[in-house]
Amino acid sequence: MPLIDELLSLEKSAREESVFAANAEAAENLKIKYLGRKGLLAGLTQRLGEASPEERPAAGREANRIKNALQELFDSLKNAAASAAPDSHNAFDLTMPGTAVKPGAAHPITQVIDEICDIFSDLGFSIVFGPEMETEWHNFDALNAPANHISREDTYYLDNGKILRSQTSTVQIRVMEKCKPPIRIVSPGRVYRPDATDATHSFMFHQIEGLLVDEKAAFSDLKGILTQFLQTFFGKKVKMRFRPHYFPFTEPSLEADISNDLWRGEAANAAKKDWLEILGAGMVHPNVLRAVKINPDRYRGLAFGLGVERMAMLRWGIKDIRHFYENDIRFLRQFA
Amino acid sequence: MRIPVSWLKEYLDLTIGGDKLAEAFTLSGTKIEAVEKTPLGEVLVAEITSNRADCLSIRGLAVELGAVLGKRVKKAPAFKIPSAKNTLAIRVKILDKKVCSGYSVRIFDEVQVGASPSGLITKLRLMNQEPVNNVVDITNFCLFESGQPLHAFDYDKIRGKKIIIRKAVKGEKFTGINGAVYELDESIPVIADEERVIAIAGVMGGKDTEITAQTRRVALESARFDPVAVRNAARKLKISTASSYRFERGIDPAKVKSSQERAAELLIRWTQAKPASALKTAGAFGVHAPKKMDLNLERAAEILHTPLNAKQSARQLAALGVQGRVISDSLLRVSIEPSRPDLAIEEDFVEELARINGYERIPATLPSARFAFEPEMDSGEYRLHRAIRAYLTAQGLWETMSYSLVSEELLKRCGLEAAANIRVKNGLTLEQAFLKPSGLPGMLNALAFNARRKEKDLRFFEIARQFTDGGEKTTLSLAAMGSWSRTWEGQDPASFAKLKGLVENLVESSDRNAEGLCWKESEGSGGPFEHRLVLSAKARPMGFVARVKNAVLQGMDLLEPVYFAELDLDGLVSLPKRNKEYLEVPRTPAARRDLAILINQKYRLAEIEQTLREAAGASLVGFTLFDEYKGKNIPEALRSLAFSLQYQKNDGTFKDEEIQAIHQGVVDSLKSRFNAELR
Repeated sequence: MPLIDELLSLEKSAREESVFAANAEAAENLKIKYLGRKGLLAGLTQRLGEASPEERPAAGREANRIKNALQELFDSLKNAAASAAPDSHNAFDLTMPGTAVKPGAAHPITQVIDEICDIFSDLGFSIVFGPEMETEWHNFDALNAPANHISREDTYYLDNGKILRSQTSTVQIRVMEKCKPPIRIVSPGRVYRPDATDATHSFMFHQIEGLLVDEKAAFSDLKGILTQFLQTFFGKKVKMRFRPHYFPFTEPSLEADISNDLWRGEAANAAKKDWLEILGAGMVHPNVLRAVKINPDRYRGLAFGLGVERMAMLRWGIKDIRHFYENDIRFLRQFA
Repeated sequence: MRIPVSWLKEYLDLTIGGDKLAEAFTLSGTKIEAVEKTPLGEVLVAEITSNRADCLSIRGLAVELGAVLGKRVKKAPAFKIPSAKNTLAIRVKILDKKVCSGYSVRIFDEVQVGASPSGLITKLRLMNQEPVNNVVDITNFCLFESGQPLHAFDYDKIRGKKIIIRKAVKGEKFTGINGAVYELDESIPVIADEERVIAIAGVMGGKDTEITAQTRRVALESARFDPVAVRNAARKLKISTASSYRFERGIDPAKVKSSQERAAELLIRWTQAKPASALKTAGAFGVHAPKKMDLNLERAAEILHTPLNAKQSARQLAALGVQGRVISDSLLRVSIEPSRPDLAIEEDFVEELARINGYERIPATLPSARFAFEPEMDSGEYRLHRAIRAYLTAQGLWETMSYSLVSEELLKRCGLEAAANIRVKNGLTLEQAFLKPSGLPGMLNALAFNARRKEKDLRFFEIARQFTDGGEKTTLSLAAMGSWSRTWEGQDPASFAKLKGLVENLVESSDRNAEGLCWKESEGSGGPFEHRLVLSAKARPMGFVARVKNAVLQGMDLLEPVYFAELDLDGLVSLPKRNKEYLEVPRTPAARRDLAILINQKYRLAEIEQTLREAAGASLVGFTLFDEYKGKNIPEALRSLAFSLQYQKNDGTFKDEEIQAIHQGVVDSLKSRFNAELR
């Protein structure tokens, strides 16, 4: 019989015998019988030298294939036998905890920023960033702040002649310097104000700024955009009101309040107010447009800004702003 | 600003009070912070924005509220000051016109200093102002009523009967009515007599010339002081008074004279004072004809999305004290009034019309302009940051946020050079000394905070700006300590390789062309890290993975190894996007060959891999290290490495002998280059 036929016949009988291997030990014995050093396959492969030169390559390939195939067969037999074996010491407890990697979470401030950016993204706003180290011109002069305005003193001055920005409104200037209208952007970022740090004040916090500039922007659009935003973020039931206010870089200006009845947590109750101030906004002041060489007779702008920590503290009833920067894992875990 | 409701009602017929009145104010722009119910009556506590100095007086607020509610404000009845009988001399000289543009003074004789009438006392108490005597109380009353501060001097104490408005001389001393002694310098504006300073202009009067029970003659001052000079003086001397507060914000110049007359009326009525001089003035009191401006109502209506009626708008502005003339249905010619200097451009008037009509009446619309998205506005930075966060949190890491300012002490403890960093000139505490140059201080602080609370298995990341080389860049920081994963199925400790894997995976999945990116071991032992592996893109450093030195950890009370990594996100974002090209999936599976070698530990995997790849050529399509073993049964100085190699040929069949030959070539190259032994 040609060698190759003997090999195939060997494979066949190996497979037939394996059906009757009842346990791991039997599977192991089969393996030794067929694949051991003195096993049946070895006996056949030793005779490869006897085969004719035409036969040899094919026979060699078959031998190799059969070796791998039988190896796999016997190994899986052993495994199946082992897991099926009734073993009183190894009963499988189905109620053991799952072991997949438990995910961490983004910081609560990031979560609020992402949620707010998503809302404005849906309204067509692009998300951009600006520098934290700024010039006085971008932070005050370009934003129409009077030369001796007290806010200039409530700013961190650096030894390289720059300041740390005290508001994200600087990004309005940065964007308008680079891009011509129409513009629709939202910019989240860190701001700094020298303020004694306590439960509700931090020298470092986050704001989100919005800017829209085109030929037809109207004050009523501001109301519409902000209403849409507040309802999406706080829920349709939220009561809000818009009242006149003053910022050097907007005219007309407004502040928006939301009603206090939605909040959990002592942060809101302690305020004992019916309305909570939540953001500021207005039409971009023509002096600001002129500072970035945009013609105020042709273009109009809307701008708005809000404090992120405040939103987060209201949403989750967090009482102390300093928790955000302690990085206590027991605090962070609550936002998974 | 305190607003006693009873006082307000003297100028305005109000049918509402308390919360309803507070709401009317708040919704029109004067935010009421609290409604106080005091034994003397209700007081609204208002926040007045810095552009509305006109609201720092009860009359000013009456005008404001009158315009909002459509009610007329009661005018003050006219009072004629009787002419002076015996004229008492007083001379006025302004030496510094920048500090004071106009000064007026009138002398009164036969003044009977005593207690004020009870109505006046009540009003002052409602303003939280303690009554002193009738003369002083009258000046305070006028300040609150009209917003123009006045001051009363004891005329007999004015030496040389001269009032000089000048800057102080360096070292000049002054005792205020509060009893405190101040040393002045040449930046402080003062009122002086012939010999000494008798008041800090616009801020506070002096003790020497104050009105006492013995005072018989009064010099009543009403003047215009420069806001910047007054603010500077108040700041330097650390005083803030109701007077300085108002001068700092600017006062309608017409009030100088009207306030003088009002005070004169009250002095005559309540202290039996007799005018003893004409009104002496210095400087300019001329009231210029107000400039005129055109207000385009059509444009205003477009901005507010509300129809505006020209006649009604003119009436509303008139109620606010702004004269206007209807030129047409869409055009008003308005005056820029000194009583409302905040109304100077068209937009200011648009706001007035909006808030008098009521912001509630403005509809909520969505932007009507067609919007074209400008791709260059969006660099993809935000999307990249979000993708990074999503990946890292899925891997079990927690995002932290650390302060951007650090103390010199913390920098030192972290093994970082303090002097090289950008310094904050006016930090409030030692912790606000420098801008942080690295994510390490924040991370070590976060780890130490939690370790102190017995949380030792920590995996943190942070995306924040670092400030180095005079600039700032957005960096991702990673830190790990303790167990990486610990379940009942097994425990896996934090390690250098895990952080390296995270960085590699992030770069790989960033959709950026990472050609030319390579890892290199860093030489040099300075700084807080040991075993530092640096990632660069064509010679530009992009990040690193490292182990923090034990000495640094000890200084932070951290007892276990800490692994730390940084990745420059600005650099990553700026790499060109990767062009993914589809490759046909090969018909036949790759051939797998495993290989285990014993090799000297001094050889790095990077060079072993490189040798191996060179020897194998293009047919090597897969290379995985799946085991490293040191220790038992392995000679010291050696380690066992096991690889799984995959070979593939894309054109034609790949014969066993070919594969074998290539594989043998690989083995031979390892033997010859590294003296590796097959296991």
